Amino acid sequence: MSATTDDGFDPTIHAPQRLRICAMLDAVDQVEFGTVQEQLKVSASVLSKHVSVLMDKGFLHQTRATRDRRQRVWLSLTKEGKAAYRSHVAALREITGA
Amino acid sequence: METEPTTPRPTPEEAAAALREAESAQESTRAVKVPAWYYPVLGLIIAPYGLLFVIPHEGWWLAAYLLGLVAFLTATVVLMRVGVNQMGVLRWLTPRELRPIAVWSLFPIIGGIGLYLVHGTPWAWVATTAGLGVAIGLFGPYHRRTSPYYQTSGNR
Repeated sequence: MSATTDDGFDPTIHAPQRLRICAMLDAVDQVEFGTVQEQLKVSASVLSKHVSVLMDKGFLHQTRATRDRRQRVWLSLTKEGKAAYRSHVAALREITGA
Repeated sequence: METEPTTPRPTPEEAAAALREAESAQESTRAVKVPAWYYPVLGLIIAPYGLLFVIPHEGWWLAAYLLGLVAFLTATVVLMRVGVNQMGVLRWLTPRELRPIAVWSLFPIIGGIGLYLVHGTPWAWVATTAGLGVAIGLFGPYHRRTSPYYQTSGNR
């Protein structure tokens, strides 16, 4: 998987759906898997793949909780994930010249 | 599936579009409202807490006191879990959003302290938590109307 460049641009995060996932998770403490899926308008399997990619890089953490015999998955950015996302956003701003 | 074996760097226009998408995703996540019932129920849970100060801590009353404490803690935890599960988002309110309730809470707290200092009665704390319960119950609709994160179109 491509590595983060020196200016913080991260090709893993930059993929459109993963950028949105990181943006959502950076805004709050945790988001439920179904809520992310609903906002992104993708299938569960597509979202799972993106989540796996981010987890493999150590950017995302998932917590499973069983409630009313239904398993819920909650997603959150790790400390490294927040730092990587914010660096990536800073790199994008640099590119726009803003 | 998006892959990035050799992800080209975006142009300034593409970077700006990506930033707008990220901003929009953040706005829609922060815009998830606390359920309308949440703060009124929290207020109802907190309001009777002061009774624990007037219950004698001896004999069977001690059991009632401990039961009351457990009930309060359990109700608070259950409320939070149900509320967060309904929202699908866990977001702590910002200091700016909490400022109104912090200010409103001063009135029953200072009033209760004053009442206790003047009369020395533990019923002052019953009045304090009842007042806090009312403040928290009223904070809910105020917060839903005024939070800057909810002032976007299509928020739920």
